[in-house]
Amino acid sequence: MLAKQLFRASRMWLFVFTSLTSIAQQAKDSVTLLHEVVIEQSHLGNYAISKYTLRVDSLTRALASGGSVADLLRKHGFGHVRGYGPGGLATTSFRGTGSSHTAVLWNGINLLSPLSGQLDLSLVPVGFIDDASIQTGGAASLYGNGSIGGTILLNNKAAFGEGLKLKTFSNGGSFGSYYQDVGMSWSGKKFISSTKAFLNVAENNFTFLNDNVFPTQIQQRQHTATHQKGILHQNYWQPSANNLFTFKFWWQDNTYEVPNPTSIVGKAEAVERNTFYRAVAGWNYTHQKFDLNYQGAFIRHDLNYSDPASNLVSLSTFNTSINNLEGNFVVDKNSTLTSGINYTWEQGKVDAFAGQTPERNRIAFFSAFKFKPATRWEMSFALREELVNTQTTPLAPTITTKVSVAKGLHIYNTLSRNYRIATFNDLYWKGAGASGNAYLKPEISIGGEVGLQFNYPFATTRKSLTFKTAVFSNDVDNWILWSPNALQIWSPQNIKKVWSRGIEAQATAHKNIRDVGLELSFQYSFTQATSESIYENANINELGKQLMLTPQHEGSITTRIIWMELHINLVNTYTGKQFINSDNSDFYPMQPYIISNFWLSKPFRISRTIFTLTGELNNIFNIAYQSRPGYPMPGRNFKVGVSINFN
Amino acid sequence: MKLRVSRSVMFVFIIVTAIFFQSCKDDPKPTMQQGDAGFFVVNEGGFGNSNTSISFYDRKANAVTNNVFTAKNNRPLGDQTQSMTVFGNNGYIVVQNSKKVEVIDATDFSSLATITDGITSPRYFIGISTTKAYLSDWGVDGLTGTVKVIDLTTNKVTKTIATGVGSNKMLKVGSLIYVANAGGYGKDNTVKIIDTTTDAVIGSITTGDNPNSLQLDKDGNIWVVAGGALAYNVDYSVDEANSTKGSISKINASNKEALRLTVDKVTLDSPSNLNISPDGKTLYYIYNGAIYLMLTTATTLPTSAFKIKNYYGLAIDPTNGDVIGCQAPNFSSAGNIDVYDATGNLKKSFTVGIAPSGCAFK
Repeated sequence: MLAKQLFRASRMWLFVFTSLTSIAQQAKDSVTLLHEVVIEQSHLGNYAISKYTLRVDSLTRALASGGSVADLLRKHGFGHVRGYGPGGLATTSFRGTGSSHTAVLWNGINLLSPLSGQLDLSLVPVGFIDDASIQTGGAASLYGNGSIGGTILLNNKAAFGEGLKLKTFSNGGSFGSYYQDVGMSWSGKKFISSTKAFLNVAENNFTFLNDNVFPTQIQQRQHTATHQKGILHQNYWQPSANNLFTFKFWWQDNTYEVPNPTSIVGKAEAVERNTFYRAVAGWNYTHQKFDLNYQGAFIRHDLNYSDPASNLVSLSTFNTSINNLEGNFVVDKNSTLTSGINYTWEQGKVDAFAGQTPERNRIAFFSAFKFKPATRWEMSFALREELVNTQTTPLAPTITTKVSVAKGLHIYNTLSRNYRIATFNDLYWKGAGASGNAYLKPEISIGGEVGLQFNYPFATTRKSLTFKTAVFSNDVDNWILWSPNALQIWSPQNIKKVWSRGIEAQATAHKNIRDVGLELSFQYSFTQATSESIYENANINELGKQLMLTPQHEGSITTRIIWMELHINLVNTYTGKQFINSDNSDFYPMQPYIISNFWLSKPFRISRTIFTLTGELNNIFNIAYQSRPGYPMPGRNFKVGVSINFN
Repeated sequence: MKLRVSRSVMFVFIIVTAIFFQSCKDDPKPTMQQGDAGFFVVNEGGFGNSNTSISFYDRKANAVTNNVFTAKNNRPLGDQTQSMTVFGNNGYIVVQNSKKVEVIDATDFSSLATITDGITSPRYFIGISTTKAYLSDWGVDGLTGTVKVIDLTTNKVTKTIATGVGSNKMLKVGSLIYVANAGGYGKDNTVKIIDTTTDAVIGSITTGDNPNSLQLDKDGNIWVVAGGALAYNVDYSVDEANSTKGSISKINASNKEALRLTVDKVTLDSPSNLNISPDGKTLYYIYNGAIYLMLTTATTLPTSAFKIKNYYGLAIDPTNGDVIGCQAPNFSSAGNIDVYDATGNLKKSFTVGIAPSGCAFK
């Protein structure tokens, strides 16, 4: 018996050993980026000196470029994505918070809808983003409204003097999916013009086991096609060394057939169409130690939901204009200061607002200061106060201390108070059986974390080891909860209290063995997010219970191999058990699942043109799982593609 | 091989004999009454969350088992159960938002069939004969209510009878079925009469607006509770001036409205859930956050409540007249049932599933 076990163990080791050594050939790490001139619009991100950050590197982005940011986060296990199946509304939940508790900033502009307080990440194509990172933990002082659980930062980048570039990427695969983008940019010494367009269609008609009928049946998902198209145009003009003007315009049109959850028998007919325009103009002025940034943005978003089955046509529109002015001062070589003002105007037009067209004016004042009290010690303070129609919101301060304990080892702590204002839907919705509440207060969170960052200082660049971890605690109070009152009318109130606490950890080891680059990274989060609500009619059985659709354990292991410019990426993501009932009384909680996704890419050069072939195999082991009850996810599926770059 | 065959024969013989003797035992059925074994509790669940469930109260064990459907069949029940009816040895679970009726063996809860074809927004099931049942349905728009005729041998809809707006609870009196048209997403004020031999509407009785439930008393009168029709202002607050109040009507044996008693105010928690005591002498209903009790001899509405508590559903135990209040604290966590004796003393409470709304007696 023992011999058998030993034999098994040795065979496994042999397998691991040969897998590693057989690929040890010539080495070159092509993960390194082409050096780019980064053009940043806001400096506020610089004050997040020690936030727990998940960076989406260029390779990950490239591999996910035929999909949405929701796909990218889901496939790579960045945070917890809550969604309604492929193509459906997808939002994130960080550190046990709700779907409206993640601020999403595009080049510094907050994209959250004033109607829902969310941004649907299934409508953000990865191909339109040059740089993405996720900061967990609230930082409303820096990023403003809604930054309670975390912030997703999406940026565009450009570089002067690169000449003419043409790029296309096409891919297609399972379930009628097809993606095509075309980009052209001209970059001179003082002027850049770049335009990119994309088309993304998918039938999403995968099969699943329908256990909502007897006998159970293998069925094809119906009425769940998506059709997205969009254009992103950018201009950068630097007439002199200290002036930079920027302009960005993003238009997108998205049609989505809204499927029934599998618990509903029969085909759905509802269609949702999202059309939006986002335009941002910026001016950046630099003079010695002073830097002035202005950005003006206008967003219009139309959401048209129609369901022929019930003769329902519902139109929601919002208009937002955002003006952000900030001054950055380099006080001395150890300290910087940023101060500014943000003015946001919002308007909502929704059929269910009973004839009202609510508008509001929001003015926020912010300031951030960073300095080094001692050589190994860095501190930052940030503060924001927002007025909504002259009413104050909770003052949002952040204080961070970071200490360099040893070479490559930092420990830090952060304490912040964050807020989220009620949405127009919360305030003004009037529908049969549901009524908004005009007297809602902003939600408040007080969050703290203690963390550690470690970069092992190898003498050689041929290997690296990084590790970071954070222990956090976050109290959200006045959480807006829609619930039925005694008369079964659903209405929102500031009654929910949630305490979430947990731990996050990430480790990455990288080593070049001859010409093979090998990278192994590991990510884990433990989140205990419990209801602490005590209010009239509260159900005592919910007290101290884990929030619904919030797994305690999540993690991923990524293996990346680079050899002769061939990239191989294997990601295994783990999502723990999720409750659907808020008192955790589920007989059928959502079971844990592990999903394995595989990508590869390989470039070929023919004179000045680079052809890159890409392939992906998702859900390799054909695991049946759901993104939420009644919304199955696809089984094993593939995509193949080719990108052509002409420089 | 020979041995094997003889073993199989033996096995079959034993089983057959056992069944034979089982069925030859004194049949207790004549003395059995619906509800003797216990009752099912319908738990609606949260709309869209696919967590509706069925609980079973076992009278002998005096205990409730939750999630009996899912536990037995290892699959979810669906989205929003509206009602359940035990007919013969089968349980018919009407899952409204899932647009289906799940048929189970009422004894061991195992799935027998799922009725789906031709159903859009099913509400209540009523058995007529061993081969036929009716199912009320609001229609896809909530305005074109119908009664579906179901062939119980094939579990298919064989005919659709147009009945009114929001066809809801049904009552069987002899060979007739009375259908209360609760208004659905619109408004109605009729109880339709269907002849079950022809499956055709043969009459209509006008009541107060939006009749939702009905019962037969010991004297052969039919009592109908109507919720009244609510009108809303632009902001969806209740427009009292244009709303009608709920009412209780007494329909006599010649199918005429003999009495209509109107409640005192327009309220969202309008009169509903009419039930009757086993002796057919006492009516119970829910109105404005309380359970009310009214004798069938009364000519005015009761002024005081039987129990002031906000119940989501109500049932009367046919075996002993106990009053069962179904309490739903919200639509995302477990509710409970409170069982009172006929004098209003709380006998017991049980935790059930999410949003309990009614019972089905076995």
